[in-house]
Amino acid sequence: MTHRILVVEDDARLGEQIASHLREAGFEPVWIARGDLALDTQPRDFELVILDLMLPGAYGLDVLKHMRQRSDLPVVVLSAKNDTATKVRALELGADDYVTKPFWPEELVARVNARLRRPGLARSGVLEFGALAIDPDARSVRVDGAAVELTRVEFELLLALARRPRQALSRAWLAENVLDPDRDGTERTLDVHTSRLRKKLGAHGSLVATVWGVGYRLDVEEPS
Amino acid sequence: MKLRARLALVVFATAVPVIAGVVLLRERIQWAATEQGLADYALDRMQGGGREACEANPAAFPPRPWMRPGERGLPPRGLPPGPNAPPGPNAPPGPNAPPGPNAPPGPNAPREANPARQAPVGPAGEARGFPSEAALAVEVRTELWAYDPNFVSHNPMAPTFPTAIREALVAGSAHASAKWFVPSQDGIAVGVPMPWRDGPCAYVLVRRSQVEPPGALLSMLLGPSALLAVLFLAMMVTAGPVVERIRRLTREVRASAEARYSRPADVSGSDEVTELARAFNAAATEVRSNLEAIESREQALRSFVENTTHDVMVPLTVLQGHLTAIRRRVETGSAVERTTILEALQEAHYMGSLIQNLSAVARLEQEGTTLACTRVDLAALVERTVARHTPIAKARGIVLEYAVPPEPLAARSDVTLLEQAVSNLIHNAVRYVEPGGHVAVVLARAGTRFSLRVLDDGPGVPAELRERVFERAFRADSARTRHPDGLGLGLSIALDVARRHGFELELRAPEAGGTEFELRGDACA
Repeated sequence: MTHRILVVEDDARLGEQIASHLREAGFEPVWIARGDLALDTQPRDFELVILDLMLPGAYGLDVLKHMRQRSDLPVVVLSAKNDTATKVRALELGADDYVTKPFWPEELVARVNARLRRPGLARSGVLEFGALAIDPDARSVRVDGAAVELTRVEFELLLALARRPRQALSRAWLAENVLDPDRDGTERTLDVHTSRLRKKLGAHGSLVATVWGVGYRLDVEEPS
Repeated sequence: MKLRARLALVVFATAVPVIAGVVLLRERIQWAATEQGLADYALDRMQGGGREACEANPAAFPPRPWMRPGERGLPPRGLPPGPNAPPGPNAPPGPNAPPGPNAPPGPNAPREANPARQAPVGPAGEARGFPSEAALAVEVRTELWAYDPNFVSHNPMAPTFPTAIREALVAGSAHASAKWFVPSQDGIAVGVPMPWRDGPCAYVLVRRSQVEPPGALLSMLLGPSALLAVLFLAMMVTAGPVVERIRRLTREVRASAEARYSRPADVSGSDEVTELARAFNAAATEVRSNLEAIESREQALRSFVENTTHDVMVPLTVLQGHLTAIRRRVETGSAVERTTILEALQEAHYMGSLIQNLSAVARLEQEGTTLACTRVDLAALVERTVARHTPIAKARGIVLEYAVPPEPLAARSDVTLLEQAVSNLIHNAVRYVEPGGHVAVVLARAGTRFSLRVLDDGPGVPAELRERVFERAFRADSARTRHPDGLGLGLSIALDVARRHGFELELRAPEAGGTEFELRGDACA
């Protein structure tokens, strides 16, 4: 599924570039160069808006306000003015994120992806990642359809990582939230549990990746 | 307007209306007194034999209708003396002013009693001729005419009874007056009803060519004028030294302004001028300190622009060099070296950070800067700053990872400055870690506080430099090089920002090697 993204940017070269980079990243950008034209767009036609603030026709923050009145479409603000007041105002008016110029194309795409992913966070029910299936209610884990017996700590560890796939969690946080506080709750103990979990997951044990300096992360493919 | 001129103007402007008012009031009083005096005179004369003479021969009454001042019975009681009046003219005419002596019918009487001429009779010597114009101007004449109840006189020489007076008398007034217009003089006409109210002499009209004697007004004006003059003179004399002191202060203020307010004005004395001099000195001190502040700010701005220019021009030149190398390679069809592109990217990234840092410095160095603190979502801030440096880290083959707690974690801070501080810590690590190395950013809650760690497995900071890491050596050295051991502007800004927020920024050397910065501060509840 391609995401339609509205790009409101008055600079011709930058607008063209942003559109082109978004297209390369698999999005379907629609680029307009005037603020007043942005006021006429239908929010439901898009899944995200990239909004420059310095626009001819209408000020970016006014466009933002107008859009917020009509929908809760994610809005990423582009700002060349790196001042706190503008950013704070944009966030107050309901912007979801901002990117300060200059920015790298990958940076912008990463911010867009992060915003589009966000609603999927609060998932419930069975968590499935390819061969790996985790049922929080039944407290059961299956790999390639076969049930895997996990200890309470191992299961909590896997579930915590699975709730935020592709995002690292620090060892300190995991130690505090996963380990039994009555027992030995050090990060070393956590490492031991992780190592056991990996073994139990067999060929898919590498899905539980060590993140240097941080902790662990469930390295699963992004669903496309 | 000059002070003295203003004083003079004020004196005149206040004195003239007062004097005019006094004169007007005096005129009214004078008029009333004259009217009363003439009315009394008319009654006295008519009751003292005038009635009998009149009724006996109304057509010829009075035998001599006018008389000069000084003649018996004139001027009547209450009238000030005329110029020719002898001393003691205020003696009431009363019964000793019978018409008899006043009434010898002069041979010229009928001839001259032409109402159109109204020429007064001159002194005895002039009685036979027409009086000169000058005499007309100064002579004071009083006339008396009698009228019947219908205001008609039996004497053909009598003037028409003035309508205004007639109306007032008919309305019941004891006596009434009106102006009598005589050439060169303002006269008064008074109508008086006689107690008997009938016969040809029921009403009497007394006319006097002058309300008051000439010169009275002048003499009355003389007093206040002299007082005014004395007052004015005193004022000028008093104002003299003050004006001189003000002039001197003006010269001193001018001189002080020319000397950029470094020379204070003289404050000897204890009057308002001294107060003014003191106020000026206080203002001059304020102006001087403002001037100095502006100059130092200007100096800071100038050096900021110079530094910025230098700092930006170098990476820009390097970037142009890289782009030119890439263009040549492409034109000649040879492969573009990966390092050239990587370095070009790094230069561009460096420039971006540099400009953000310079603008942060400009804000931090500005005196009295206040932070625009709001509740800042720290996880979002970490995600943004990591995203900012990820492309360059990736290009350099460095793994840049981060972790934020799933629970919300916020701190009151200035989002731009805090983001710049964190960005500097990350950029610093990404720049100096070898390809294949790691950089990690870990945000965690620790009780009521937050901890934000940036760690790397790079070469680390030598122990002897650790103390100096946050120094702004970058700024102090005008011939600085761009990468002074990886330390400089960015870290000093990070420390400055942390301190201004009341946060702590600590540099550690982990046992395993590399570098670890930790920023700690109070988290929002």
